[in-house]
Amino acid sequence: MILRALYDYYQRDKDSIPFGLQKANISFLIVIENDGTFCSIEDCRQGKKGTDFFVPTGEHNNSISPLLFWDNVQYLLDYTPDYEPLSEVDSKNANKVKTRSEKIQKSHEKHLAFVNRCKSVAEESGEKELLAVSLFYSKNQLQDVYKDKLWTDIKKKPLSWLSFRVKGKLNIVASNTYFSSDDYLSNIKADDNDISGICLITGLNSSIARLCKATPITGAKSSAKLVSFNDNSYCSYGKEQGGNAPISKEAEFAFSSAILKMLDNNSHNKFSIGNRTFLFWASSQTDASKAAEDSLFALFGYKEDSDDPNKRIEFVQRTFLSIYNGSLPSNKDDRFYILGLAPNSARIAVVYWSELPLREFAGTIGRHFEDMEIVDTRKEKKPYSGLHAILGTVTLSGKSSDASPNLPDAIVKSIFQGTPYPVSLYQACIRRIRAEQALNITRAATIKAYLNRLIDNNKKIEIMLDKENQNQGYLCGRLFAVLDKIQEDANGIHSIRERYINSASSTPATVFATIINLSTHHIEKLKPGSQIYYEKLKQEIMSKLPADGFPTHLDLQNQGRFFVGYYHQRQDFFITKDNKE
Amino acid sequence: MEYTNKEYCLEVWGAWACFTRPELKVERVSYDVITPSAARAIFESIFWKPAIRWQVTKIEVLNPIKWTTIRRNEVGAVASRAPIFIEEKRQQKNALILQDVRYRISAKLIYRPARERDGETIKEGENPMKYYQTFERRAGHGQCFMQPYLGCREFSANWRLVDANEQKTPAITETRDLGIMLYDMDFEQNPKKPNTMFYHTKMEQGVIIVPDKDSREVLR
Repeated sequence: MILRALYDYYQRDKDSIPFGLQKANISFLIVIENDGTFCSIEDCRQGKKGTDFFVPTGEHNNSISPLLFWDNVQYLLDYTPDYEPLSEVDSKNANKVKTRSEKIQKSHEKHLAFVNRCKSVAEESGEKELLAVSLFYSKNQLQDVYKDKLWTDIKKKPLSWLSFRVKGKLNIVASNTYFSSDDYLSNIKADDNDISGICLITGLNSSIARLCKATPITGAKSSAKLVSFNDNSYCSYGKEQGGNAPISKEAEFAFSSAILKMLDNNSHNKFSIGNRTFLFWASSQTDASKAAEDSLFALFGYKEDSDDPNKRIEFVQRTFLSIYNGSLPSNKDDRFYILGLAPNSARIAVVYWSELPLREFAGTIGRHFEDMEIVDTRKEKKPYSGLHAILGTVTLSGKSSDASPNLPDAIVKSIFQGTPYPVSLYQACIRRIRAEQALNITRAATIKAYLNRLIDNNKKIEIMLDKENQNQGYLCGRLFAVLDKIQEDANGIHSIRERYINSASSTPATVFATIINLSTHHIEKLKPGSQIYYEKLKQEIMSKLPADGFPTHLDLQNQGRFFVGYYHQRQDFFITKDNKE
Repeated sequence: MEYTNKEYCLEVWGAWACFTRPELKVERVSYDVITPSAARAIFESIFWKPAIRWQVTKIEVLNPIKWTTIRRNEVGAVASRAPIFIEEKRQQKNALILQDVRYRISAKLIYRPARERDGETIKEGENPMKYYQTFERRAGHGQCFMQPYLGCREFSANWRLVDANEQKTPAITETRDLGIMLYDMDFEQNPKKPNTMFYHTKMEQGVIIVPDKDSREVLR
């Protein structure tokens, strides 16, 4: 299903790269005349990177594999850093001298292979531009190229891509229209050496691709592929490489190009967490589908400092709500696909795959927002319910990339499928609160979301302070917040919270007696009006506790409710303060 | 001799299953439902003789499709005479597999008459009935040559024979086009290097009708 969905995406996309081409980032161009005479070297870099051009597809492998009219400086101009003469010391070392000459020999072979390939294709095509390159090589002008003033720049970057331009033409030689023509394409589509078989994506009998294109993701090698059988132990039934999973050349090109497009730097169809990359796309081009893709990108894929993050989150919520309740119309068959990839040296592993009907997907995302919603009295309302925010809040450094590797996958799964959040997230959250004695909005929201999605008999936690909630942990948390506030108003310090929050949340019975005593001293320092107000509040909370007193021990879930109660009560003080002012 | 091929029904279930996709078999990803090839293997592990072959006819999905990811240490070498030193060949690989599966698979026990089997001496008393009875006896008692498995050997399957007249659990109410799935490997044409056969899978209300091996719908 995964490859089929990618294949369909490529077919639907109007801007997809035509068969046989790929995007390449060319840094330098060799400018030649129509008859092949060398003119100059042109620098087409923009800043550090080169310019993107559409060139015939190709990949280097370990043996000699020249590309067509575009390549690196070793194939194009027969130069590698090994050509530099050895230092005094090294030239006495016989081994080093031998390896250097071997490498130079190899480089010669590669260059010759490139030249021969260009010449044969140029002859076959009969195109003037391609013949010009062939003439360039037959005139032995490499020394002239080495004398050009930009040559030192090329030498500094031996891995950058180069190509040719005929003087006066706009486009580079590698982008010649011959490479999109039927003559050329029919050659690569049906080679005589090809095996033919049933393609498992299209179901039609066609030439089977031997290798797939590399689609590297962050953290993987640059030759990483989704579909590859690069070792004997991965092959079965005597098949080799592509024979293990017959995919036609067109279908292979389609799904590889789709992945590459989604992995592009400025793509709006991906987001990454740690070393996981998630690609997402919709199954049609309706308004609802496009809105869903854009919203998901806005939600998870944004970079930290973009403009007004809250407007964006609001927009996302409204979009998903309107898809869910039908005001943004979508077909019944519209589906939304999410593919999670992880790197594993030269392979790419699929760690998550889901295809949901679009409306259901919008519904589950909406549920996540609903579950995470909590009272917010901050002055600067930065978004707190995004994936990066949640992960950042459960790590020591505050960075989402430091979270343990399984956590992002599990959270993504629960957000997209509406299942309960992972227990490890909840535990990590409580751990961080205890370690830092700090409870910010994201942590409170995470606890609330986790507890509300559990299926049990406890009352669901509300967004704001809930005066009717009788849960022991919740009440202890509220009481603790009151005592903390009393001390803050009286002395201006928070020593009760700093010293007692950990023990109060796990074993209230041992601690509350002490802090209530302390608080009687604090309350004496307040004005009579405040005294009465706080006393009444304390009474209200303590009246709901059972007669045997404070619970001796709170289990982990109730500890979560303690913290949420603490948070709600504190926020309630700020709200009432605002109302007074 | 006149006979009709009998159809039998088994219910299989297990904690995990992995019906590996051929294109993603290095870092395993499972198909959504059981393949006819895996279903055939379950029947064959209960009873098989060269005189018969199994033809899967119907697959019913009884549990909703759930996925899970696991990461395992695997071996990156082919087993041969020489020993494998695991420290050098250990690879950690990811697997995206199914969880809590339950299927009801139906298959026909097709008797291969004497002329199809080459080079075998046919004994007296050879008739299809004895094979049907053997299977019914074995399946009824829970006997099998080896433990049936769901796609990969490590995911053992529990199974039982389903009576034609019993009250059957309904299948899930999902209707989905599952794309082109592996049907089986074509061992008859080329036993050493078989080619893959594919077919277009459509699940209607949890039921998948599997075409016959020689029908037009099987792409080869």
